[in-house]
Amino acid sequence: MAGQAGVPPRVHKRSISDQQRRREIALERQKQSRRDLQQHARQLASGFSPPS
Amino acid sequence: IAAIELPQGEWPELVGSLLANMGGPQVEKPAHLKQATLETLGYVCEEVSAEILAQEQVNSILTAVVQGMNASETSNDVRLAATNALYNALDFAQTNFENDMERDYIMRVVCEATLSPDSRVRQAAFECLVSIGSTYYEKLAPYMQDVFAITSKAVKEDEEPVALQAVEFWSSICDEEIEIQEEYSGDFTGDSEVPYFQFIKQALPALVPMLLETLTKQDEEQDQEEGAWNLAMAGGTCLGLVARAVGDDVVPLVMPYVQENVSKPDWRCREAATYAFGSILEGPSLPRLAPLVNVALNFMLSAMKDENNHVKDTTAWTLGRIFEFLHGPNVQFPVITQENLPMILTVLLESIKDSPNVAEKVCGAIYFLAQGYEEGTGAPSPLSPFFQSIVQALLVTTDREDAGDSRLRTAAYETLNEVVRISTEDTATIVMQLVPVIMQKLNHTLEMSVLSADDREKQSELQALLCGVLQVIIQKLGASDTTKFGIVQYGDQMMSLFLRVFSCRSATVHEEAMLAIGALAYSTGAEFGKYMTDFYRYLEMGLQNFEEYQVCAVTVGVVGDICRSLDDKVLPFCDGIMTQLLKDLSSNQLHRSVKPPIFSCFGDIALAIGENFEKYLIYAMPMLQGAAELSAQQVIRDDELIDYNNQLRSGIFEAYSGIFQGFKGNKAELMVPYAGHILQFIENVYQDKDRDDSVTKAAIGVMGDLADTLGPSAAPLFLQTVFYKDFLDECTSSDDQQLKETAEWALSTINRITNVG
Repeated sequence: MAGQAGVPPRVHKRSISDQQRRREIALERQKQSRRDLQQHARQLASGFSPPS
Repeated sequence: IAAIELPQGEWPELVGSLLANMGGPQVEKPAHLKQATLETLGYVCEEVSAEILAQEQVNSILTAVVQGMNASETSNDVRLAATNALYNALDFAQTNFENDMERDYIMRVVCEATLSPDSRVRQAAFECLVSIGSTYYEKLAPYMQDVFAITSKAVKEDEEPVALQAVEFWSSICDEEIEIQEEYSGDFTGDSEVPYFQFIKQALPALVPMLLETLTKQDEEQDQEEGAWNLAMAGGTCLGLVARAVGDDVVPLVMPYVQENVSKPDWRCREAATYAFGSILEGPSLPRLAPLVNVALNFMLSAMKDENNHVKDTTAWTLGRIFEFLHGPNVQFPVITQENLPMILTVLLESIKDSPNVAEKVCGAIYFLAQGYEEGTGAPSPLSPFFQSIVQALLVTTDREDAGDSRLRTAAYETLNEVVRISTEDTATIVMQLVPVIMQKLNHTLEMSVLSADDREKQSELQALLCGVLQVIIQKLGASDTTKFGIVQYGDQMMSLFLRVFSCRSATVHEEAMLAIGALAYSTGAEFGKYMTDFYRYLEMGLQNFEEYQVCAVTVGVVGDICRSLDDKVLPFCDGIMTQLLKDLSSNQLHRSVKPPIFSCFGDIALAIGENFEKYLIYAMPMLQGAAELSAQQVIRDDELIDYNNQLRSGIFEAYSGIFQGFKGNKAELMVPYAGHILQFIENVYQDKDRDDSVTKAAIGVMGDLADTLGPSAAPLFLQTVFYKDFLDECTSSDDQQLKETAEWALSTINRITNVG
């Protein structure tokens, strides 16, 4: 119901929040490692030179 | 009960019998009956989704509610119940808002209710206006002048809870306009389903002064109280949104106020002026802001010595905003130079000793200052000369007795993370020295006496933070061959600590420890095998954690790290891992976002164990085919679903690539029965106008892997297919070098097996 006064509806002077960033960076590292490994397998397959 | 029964078509007489309680022109019902009825209708509307009620029922409810809100209603309790009920019924009123007359009537009644003698009714009426502002933005134009007048009056004269809602109305309009602008700029055709009226720009000359007036209405204790919310905070937050909505136009309206008040003897004026300045730093263009910030920076640094705590708090926050928006490798007019950096750091490292609320904002300022040096060239960072002092100051801060206040400890550790991330080779030794320090702190948490739930919470929070710091350090040092040994030498000790941390039952701690272990596996490579026997049970536990799906998602990622590190040494654990991943995929309980990474993980496992993946093929392939078919049939309704569909497709393609590559040589023939379906899926994705770059890259990769693994046996499939040439043509002419080269490789592989070209 309405009448939610007293609960801050918004973040005041937003401070840092690093947790999501840690997740995202880990995920990006994993994605990159997977891509690199699959590219490497293709390189081995036919002497194809993958982009660095 | 209505929430359960109405969706099942039961209790059809409910709404009718409730409405009978409201009486009519000839039949006056008791006020308490009307009040209870309206409250019930409000709850029913809150619980039941819009499509459940027939339009006729919605009309009757709205009629009853609006009648109850009318100024002719003598009971304030009835008016309040009616206004609250309308708030919950607004989502149902789509059809009524389409009709000019009905909409005019509802708006008139809501606006009149904002003038009620009862402040509860006024507050509820403004809450309705806030909701109308978000839900029916495109219908607001005819009412904006009146709405401005009544919100302005409320902000100036009314009690705080009412005034807060009046400010919130403008914040929600800003939200809408920011979203519309983002939609316009993201989509170059300039199409948006919602018209853009620029209400904020039109209201600006009157709106900004109204908001500035609120800023001096601070509470004495506001920065010490967690969850505090008052008119000054709401006004400043709204001003920040206004700046994002209108950009440069806000600057000349705010700066005279800043200049006039920032040095006044009254702390309220100084804090308000600083808050106004900090609030408008996101939105306006850099050329407009940079000269102002250059002039203000020295003043801000000296204001960190202000006698008033609130002024220092807001000043530190403003410095953080300056560093966030006007400093960095891609910033055209950076305000931080070699010359002023020493002075800035001297002030910050002194002010970090201030009271917890100020120190927390100082940590934020250091965080953004560090972040601005992120994309270094490998050369020593401008922060290097100060690195040791910064790290030391942050560690001292985490040990402060009052670090539990104002999230200070969390802010200090998280800032330490960013400082480590941007560190360069010349300061790697200092980062290495941090490892035993943080390990010791983590060890200490395991020995803490835990006597209450509060103690347990504190312990978990600290463990999560420390695992987070270790993860960042492992990732940083592990990424370079010259610093990797700094991690490897502590591998056993760190792993033993992480395993002990798993015994504490907290999802956040598990997630953080798991992320740190993933980074460790990546850094230590094949050596990680020695930890697998002890670690495996926690890995399985993570994969089984449906409820805290982030833990599950992170664990799936770690399985990938382990596969890449151990290669076929992961085989003894694969039966268990695959069983669990297949269960996860079949679960309706598990959050859908975890499913695409599970498919990618199939690819990681297949690539690691090669032909040994054969025994999982009969389980994995139907899952992949089922998901591919589902994604092809998906009726796309929104951006979120488009995004999800792309993630799902990338995951499926990554699985296929891993499986093809793993089977190449000895077991290629196992994939022949699936090749037609896979090509069909790629064609389907090719035709999709919402296909994103990652999907394109993954699809092209699979096409080449399929040809490469199956060899000439796949030739007839390609010879019968037309689309692949167009798809590859599109990709070979791409500006994306990686995509272009993969497409060229795929084309030459296909040509080789089909004897073309």
